[in-house]
Amino acid sequence: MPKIFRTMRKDLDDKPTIGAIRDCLGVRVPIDVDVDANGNVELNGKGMSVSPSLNAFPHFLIPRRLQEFFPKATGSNSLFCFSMGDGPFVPSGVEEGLDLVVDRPSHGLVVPARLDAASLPIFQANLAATRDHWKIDESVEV
Amino acid sequence: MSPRALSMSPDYLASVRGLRELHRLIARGEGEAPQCDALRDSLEAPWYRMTEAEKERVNHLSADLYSISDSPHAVQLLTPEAERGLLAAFAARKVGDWDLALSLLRQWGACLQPAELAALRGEIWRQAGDPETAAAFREHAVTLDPSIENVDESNFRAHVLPGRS
Repeated sequence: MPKIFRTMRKDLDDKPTIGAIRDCLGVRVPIDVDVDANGNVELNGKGMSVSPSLNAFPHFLIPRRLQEFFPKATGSNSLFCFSMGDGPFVPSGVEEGLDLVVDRPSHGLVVPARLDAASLPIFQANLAATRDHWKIDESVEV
Repeated sequence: MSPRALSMSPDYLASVRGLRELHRLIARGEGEAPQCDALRDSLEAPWYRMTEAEKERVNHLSADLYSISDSPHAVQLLTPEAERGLLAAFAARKVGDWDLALSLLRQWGACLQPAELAALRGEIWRQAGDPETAAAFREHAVTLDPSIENVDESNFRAHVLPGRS
């Protein structure tokens, strides 16, 4: 399973907040994904954004409290950097029904793995099911 | 050949405009305010349409803009290596390699007075074709030192080096 990073809000148990809104574990329609007339997520280069490292995030997604380590950071301090997995950042399966697509070396998308996992509710449920695999990971690699 | 201004896409310009506003709000202690989150939201779409070079430039500018709101840096000893680095920054500016000039200032600028560094950054952004960002650094330089002059290579060699070496 590839190691992927994503900044999200967290719940009291230090796991990511699930939701179809910004900075949560889930996708927003049509910002993150498009849905066809049958309610299926279109496999069109969109998905849930992830990165291979903290430094690969845009400045506005890195919490300002980490500015000492990431001088560009302008993100909200209510964001937390999470990671899951431990493999290389290459196209591969993430979890049940989910694949990682790497569109740039510094950016990837988690997308439905198969057509039968592509309905929006199933995709959201599969994303939500990864919640316990994410851990806060704000360590700075040198 | 005279140095050329940076080519700036609409998404890049929107990103830089939003970035400056974000830093202005953060400096006012409003970094967690709803309008700051709305601004971050507005930066997302243009971000993913920019080239990697543009993204890197914006990320670096974000780091540099903190020099306006943070306490002025403590001036470091001007070592021979730092002197070479700063002279290389002047040389990069002269040929219009704005990214390299700014990068070298990021590395060695702590050997300059904060007002000198801000004035130099402002001058580079002005020449690079971004007068608004230039003004932000220039205004900061004047705030730190109302008598600040432009810092160019001859000025650096004539006035800065003798006083620091």
